[in-house]
Amino acid sequence: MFMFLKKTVPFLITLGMGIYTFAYYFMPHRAMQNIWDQLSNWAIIVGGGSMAVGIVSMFRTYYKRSMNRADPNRYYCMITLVCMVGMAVIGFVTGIGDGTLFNDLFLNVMLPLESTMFSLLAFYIASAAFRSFRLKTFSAGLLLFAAVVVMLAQIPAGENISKQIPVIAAWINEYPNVAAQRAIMIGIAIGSVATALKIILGIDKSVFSGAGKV
Amino acid sequence: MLTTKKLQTRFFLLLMTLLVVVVAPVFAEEAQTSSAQNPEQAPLVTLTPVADQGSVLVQGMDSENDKGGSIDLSWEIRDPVISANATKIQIFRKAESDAEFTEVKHMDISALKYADKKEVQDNIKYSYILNFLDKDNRKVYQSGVMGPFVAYPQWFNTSKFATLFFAFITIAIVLLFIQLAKQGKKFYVRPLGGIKAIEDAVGRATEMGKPCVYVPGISVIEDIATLASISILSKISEVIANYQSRIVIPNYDPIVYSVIDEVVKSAYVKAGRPDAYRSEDVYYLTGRQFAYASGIAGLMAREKPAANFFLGWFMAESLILAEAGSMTGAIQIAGTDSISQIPFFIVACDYTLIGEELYAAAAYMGQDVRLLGGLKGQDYVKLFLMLTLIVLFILKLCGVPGIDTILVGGN
Amino acid sequence: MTTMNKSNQDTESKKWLNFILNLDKRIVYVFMFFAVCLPFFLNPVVDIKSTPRVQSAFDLVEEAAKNHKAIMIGFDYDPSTLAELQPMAVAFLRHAFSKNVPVVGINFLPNGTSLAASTMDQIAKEYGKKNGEDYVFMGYLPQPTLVLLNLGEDIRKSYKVDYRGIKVDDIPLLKNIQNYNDFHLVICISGTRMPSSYIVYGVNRYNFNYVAGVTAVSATEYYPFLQSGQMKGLLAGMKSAAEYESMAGRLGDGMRGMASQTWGHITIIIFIIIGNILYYARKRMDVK
Repeated sequence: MFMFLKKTVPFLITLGMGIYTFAYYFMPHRAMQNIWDQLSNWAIIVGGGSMAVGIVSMFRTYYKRSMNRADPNRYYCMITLVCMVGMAVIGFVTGIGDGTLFNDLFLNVMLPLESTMFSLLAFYIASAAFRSFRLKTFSAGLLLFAAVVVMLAQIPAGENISKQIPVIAAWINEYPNVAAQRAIMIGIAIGSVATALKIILGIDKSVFSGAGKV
Repeated sequence: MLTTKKLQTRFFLLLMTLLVVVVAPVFAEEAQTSSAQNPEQAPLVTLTPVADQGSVLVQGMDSENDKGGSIDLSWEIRDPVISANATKIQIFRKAESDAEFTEVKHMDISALKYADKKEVQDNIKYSYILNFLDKDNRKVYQSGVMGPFVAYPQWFNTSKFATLFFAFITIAIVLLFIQLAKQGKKFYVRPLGGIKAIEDAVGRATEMGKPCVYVPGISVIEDIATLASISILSKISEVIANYQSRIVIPNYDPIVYSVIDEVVKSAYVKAGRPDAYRSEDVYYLTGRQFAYASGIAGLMAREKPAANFFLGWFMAESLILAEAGSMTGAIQIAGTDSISQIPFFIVACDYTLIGEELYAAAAYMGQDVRLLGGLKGQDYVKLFLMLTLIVLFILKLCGVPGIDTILVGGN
Repeated sequence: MTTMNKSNQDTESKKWLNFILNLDKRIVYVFMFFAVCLPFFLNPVVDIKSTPRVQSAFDLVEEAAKNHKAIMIGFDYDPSTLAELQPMAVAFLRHAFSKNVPVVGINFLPNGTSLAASTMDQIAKEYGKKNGEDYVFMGYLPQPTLVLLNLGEDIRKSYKVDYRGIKVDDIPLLKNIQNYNDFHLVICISGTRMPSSYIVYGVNRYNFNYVAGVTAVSATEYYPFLQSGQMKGLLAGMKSAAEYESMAGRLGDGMRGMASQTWGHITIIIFIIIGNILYYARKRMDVK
């Protein structure tokens, strides 16, 4: 009975949903649409509920680590917990609209922090380019040439160096890039169908709970 | 009790039923369209000129391939005087049971068509009057009463027939190879360096007594990349459990976290070491992309893992994760189907599974012949598609009409 | 003695080469930092030639003005990609408002909702536009798939009130707006994969003019859609925002950021060149 509930029931639900979703794509009828709308509402509810599970998990993990005196990094966990609880309390007390403390914290702390993390990419790209872009082979040379041309085309100086740079960059983006992207996309699409099929048919049950054949 | 085998047999029956359900209405609709036996509906499906007074041609019909509740109206102005003056159009509608016409739309005339979806009900007869107005909202021309038109839903979207055809071919080929693999046929699959490296990396981590960090990406559970990642994780966590090593898995999505928690726990149970499972190592971190990236970067800097796995769907945080990981000296294995992030992983990681290789990885790692059969089937589908594309391309070059429709499909 | 000296010299040069080749990443970061920061004190680059994909986006807004139709903008970016995407959003809004094109804003990223609302309000204020009459921000909704599908039927199916809580039927601008057909152009500005969702659940089903504004790093992903005609235009990164500003004739953050971007790219190219020269120098030394 335990295995039935743990393996067979999830499999049956997956199978049913898989068949429905496949049919929905081809069948525009209102009856199919209504089921889809209903399922989407369920997804929102499940998503909202799962957030609570996430918060409990995070709180439990960070609390355990904070209390572990042997862990030299436990103060980071404490800071995380204080920030999480602090933001939640401030949000409940002051509200989250314009001009509230919560909103100010969001705009003046969260916003610059996230922008900073994204801007780190510039540094990492520079470092990765310095270490990895080597003219070792002919194909590496092509890659290097394409990278330099596209980078130059992304700045106004590119067209000042040569009028041909934006033209070549556009050609690289529109033809070799599109051809390669489409090839990878087709591979991904076929892989997606096969993977989905294996999961829907229960051939790969590792996502239900654990590895291996059942 | 239903067994998996029985269920799979039943699935084939279901598939056949589905085929009947999907395809039968197409023929039914075709029969309906061509038959004159149903005078109520026959003229409603075809494009019928209803108000041709020489100066303006107005047409109406039920919207094609939709769920119902929509009527398409279009107009063509032939009179140069009206064409020069009319800038707006006012559409009035009256249902069979209504006493008078009410305005449903006032719009710019340039669109040349309008799909009326405003509270249109199926199987109700609607009549229309169109007023053509000049820029000062003065009436330039008024059509006669048009209709009646009836909206009704379609069971099958005929523009997707090519997609359905290729979907069935793909499914059939994959299932055929799974069946062949089950019957004991041996298939050769090209070895992937990244797969071997995954197993080696876990062994290395165990030898060094350091943990592995596993990042399942920033997508949701229904994403194939996430499912493939979980599939790989289920194999890795079994090895980890057997080696008595440690794996830390910070999660981005709470539903993915719940599934991963269950998968890792099961792997420990399967390895006979349920007590070795540490719940604090599998946790939900945050649902914000860059907070997630910085959280993992910090984790890697503090824990100094021996191996980092970035398998799943990633966006701009990919390079941040990979670079932060490379600074710790860990062996790094990445895999993603997010095309724009593949170059970053290739540059900053030791091994990268590109696109569909991510989906295939779990099949390589296990002993399940069915998964390998599926993988081989995938290759043959690709071969079939390549040949189809080449043939269609040649036909197009030869000027054969209708190739675009086959390739592009429909809505 | 001479041979020994030469050998010492070689060892010394090799040491130096290895040192530079294995240069501490932080030194690279310092160069990059100055390359990006210092140009902010330079004059902005104002003469930027437009690429066809940006030009067509610009032309569609012009057409919207000519046809007296509204445009819809999906502000699907958050603080992390603000620096790259906000200039595009501002450029579109300024262009639309200057040509009296009504704008309807939507948002599927909760982190970007207040950002989108304040951006719309701020730019509208510059042009004296009224909320509800000339523009409206509908606010955040989850489940973009469902909303994008519903927008093909009736905007009222998903949105009951706007961001300010005013009922949709009480908003004058929305009186004549029902679905995608009533917009001349739909724009999605995002660093996520939302632009693809607009294609799958919007363009493919309802066939409307669609333009995306994306981060430069993810732009390559969208070229296939541009070629297939599913996207009528594509703005990729700050350079495209600068091109758009240049066409609209209004200095903005895109143009201001171009000097930094220029020097940032040049620095990376210089690092690549240095890296390759050193790599070959060491290779030659190893052969010797």
